[in-house]
Amino acid sequence: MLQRFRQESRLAQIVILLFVVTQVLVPAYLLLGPRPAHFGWQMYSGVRTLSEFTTIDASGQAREIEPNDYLGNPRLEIDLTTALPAHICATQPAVVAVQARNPITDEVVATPCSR
Amino acid sequence: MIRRLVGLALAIQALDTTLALRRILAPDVLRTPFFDGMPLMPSSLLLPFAFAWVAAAAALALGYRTRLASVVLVTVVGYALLLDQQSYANHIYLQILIVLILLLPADLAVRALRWQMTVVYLFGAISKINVVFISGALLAANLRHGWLLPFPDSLARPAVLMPVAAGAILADAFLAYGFWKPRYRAAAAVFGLLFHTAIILTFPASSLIGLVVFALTMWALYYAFLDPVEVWKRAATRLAVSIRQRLGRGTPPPATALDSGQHP
Repeated sequence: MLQRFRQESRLAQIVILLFVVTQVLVPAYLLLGPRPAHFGWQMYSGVRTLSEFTTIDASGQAREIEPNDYLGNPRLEIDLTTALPAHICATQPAVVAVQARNPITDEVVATPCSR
Repeated sequence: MIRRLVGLALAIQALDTTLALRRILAPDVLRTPFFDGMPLMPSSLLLPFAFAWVAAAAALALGYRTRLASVVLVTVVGYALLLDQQSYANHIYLQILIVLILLLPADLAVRALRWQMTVVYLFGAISKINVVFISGALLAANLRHGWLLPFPDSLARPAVLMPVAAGAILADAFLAYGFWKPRYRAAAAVFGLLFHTAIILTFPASSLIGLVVFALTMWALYYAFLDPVEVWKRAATRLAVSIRQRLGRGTPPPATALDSGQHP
C-alpha cells in the first residue's frame, strides 16, 4: 500500500514537473520573438509592426490596401507579409505584384504574382 | 465549481467563436492556417459544430457525463483553435488546457490548475515589460474606446498612462504570486475580481465577450486555491471574535484551512 502510494506520488510529481516545465518553457521561448505570439499568454502586451500593403497592376498603378479587409477575424499575432500577397495574387487577376512595406524600417518586400 | 464556471465560459465562447468562424470560412477570406493541410470545415457544418460545443459545455457545467463532454470539448474547441490563426484566442487555449487538466485525478488536477493560473498571470506580466506597453500607448488605444467607461482624451498622456501601465504589470505579478501565500490569498481573489471587472468595463465592446470569458475562466482557477465557503467562514469567525472582544470576552480566532495554506 505504502509502496503504491510512493509510486503514485512520484508519478504525480513527474506529471506536475513536466507540465510546469512545458508551461514555463514555451511562453519563455516565445518572449524572444515578435509579440504578441500565439500560446505565449501575451494578452494586450505589445503590437507587432504591421506592414503596409500596396498592389501593383499591369499598367504599373499602385493602390494601397487595408489588410483587415481580407481577414475574417483580424488578430495581432498574425504575420501577413507572405500570406496576404499570395492571397491577393490568387484572387485578383489584375494584380501583377504586391509590395509589403515595414513603416519603421521602410524596408519593402515585393512579391511578383506568378501566373 | 471550476468545472461549472469553465463550462459556462465555454458555452459563452461558443457564440463568439461561431460568429468568427462564419466570417473566417467565407470563400473570399484569406486563410492563415497554423499547419498546412488542416482540413477546412464546410460552412454548412457550422451550426451542428456550435451545437456540439454548447451541448458539451453545458454537460460539463452541469456535471453530466463530464468525461465524454471533456473529450467532445477538447476535440471541437481544439479544432476551432487550430483551424486558423484568426480563430485563435489565448482564453480558448486556456480553456482547453483546463478541460484536459480536469481529466486528471483531483489532487493532481488542483496542483496543475494552480500552476496554470500562475503561468498565465506571470507571463501576462513579463510580456508587458516592453517599451510599447509601458509607454501607455497600447492601453490608451483600448481605454479610449471603452464601451462603458471610456478613458477621457484629456487624461490620455504619458504622465497618467505610464503609471496605469506599470500598475497593470504589478497587478498581473501580484495575482501570479499572491495566491501562493495563504495570508494574501483572499486579498488576491478580491483584487482579481476587481481587476478583471475593471478591464471588462473599460475596454472596447469588440473585446467584451472575450474579456468576460477570460475573466470567468481565470476566476474559475481561483477555486484551485481557495474555497469561498472557507473564506466566508473565516470572515464570520473573525466577525464573531471581534464582537466578543468588544463585549469583553475575547478569544483568539481558530485556525482555518485557508490560514494554513492547505487546500480545502
